[in-house]
Amino acid sequence: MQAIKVLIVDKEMEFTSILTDRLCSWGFAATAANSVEEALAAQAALAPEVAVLVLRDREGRGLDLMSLLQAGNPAVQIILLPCKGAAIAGMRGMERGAADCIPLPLELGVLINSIRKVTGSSHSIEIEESDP
Amino acid sequence: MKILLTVQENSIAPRFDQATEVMIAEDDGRKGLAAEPRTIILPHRSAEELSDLIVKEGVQCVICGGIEESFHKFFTWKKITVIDGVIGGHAEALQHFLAGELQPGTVLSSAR
Repeated sequence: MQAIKVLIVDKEMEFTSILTDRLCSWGFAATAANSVEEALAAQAALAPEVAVLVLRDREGRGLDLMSLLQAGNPAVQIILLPCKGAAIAGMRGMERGAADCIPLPLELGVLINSIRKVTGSSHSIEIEESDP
Repeated sequence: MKILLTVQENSIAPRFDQATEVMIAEDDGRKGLAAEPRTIILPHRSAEELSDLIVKEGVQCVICGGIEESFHKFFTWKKITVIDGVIGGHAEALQHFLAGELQPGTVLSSAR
C-alpha cells in the first residue's frame, strides 16, 4: 500500500521537523514546508493528498495559503491546526472547506486518525507508541 | 497516576522550558501502563503553556531534565511530583519510573 502523502506547513521549523519525523515513523510520506513558497513548490512537486496548516494568528493569514493550495489541487484535504487565540480562524477555514480543525497543542494520535479519516484510509489507531 | 515526560529526540529534554514534545502515560498501579502513552507536540517552546497543559491534563508526576525553580515550586504547590535532572532516553525513564527506581538526577544507561 502506498504511503499517504502529507505536507506539513508552519513557519516554525522545529514544529514541522518533529511532526514530520513522527508521521514518517507511522508510515506516512510526510514533507515539511516553512514558507508559502516552499509549500507551493512542495505541492507542485509531490501532489500531497493532505496538507496540515498551522494557524498562528487570529487573522488567519494561513487561510490565504489554504486557498492557494486548494486552487492548485481541489482534491487536497486540508487539516488546520489553530494555535491558542486562532480558533475563529480555524472555524473560518472549516467554512471554506477545510476537512478538519485540531487545536494545538497537538495530540499525535488525533492527527493520525484525522489524516486517515479524510483520506478514507482504513483503521483509526487506538495506540500511539509501540515502545513506551 | 498520570505521568508526563518532556521529550527531545527520544530522550528526556534537557530543559523543561525548551521542550516541544511530551509523552503522557498512565500507570496501572501494578508497575505497568493503564493505556498506551500519548504523544503531544507543542506549537512552540513555552514553559508557561507546558505548565498549563500539565495542570489541565491532571498530571501527577513530571519527569524532566533541568527545570526553573519557580516551576518546580509551582508544581510542588499543586501537589505534582517533579522528578528532575533525569538524563537519558524517555522510554527508559518511564520504565524506571514504573519500576519505582527513578529518582531526581538519575543518569540512565541510554545516556552513557
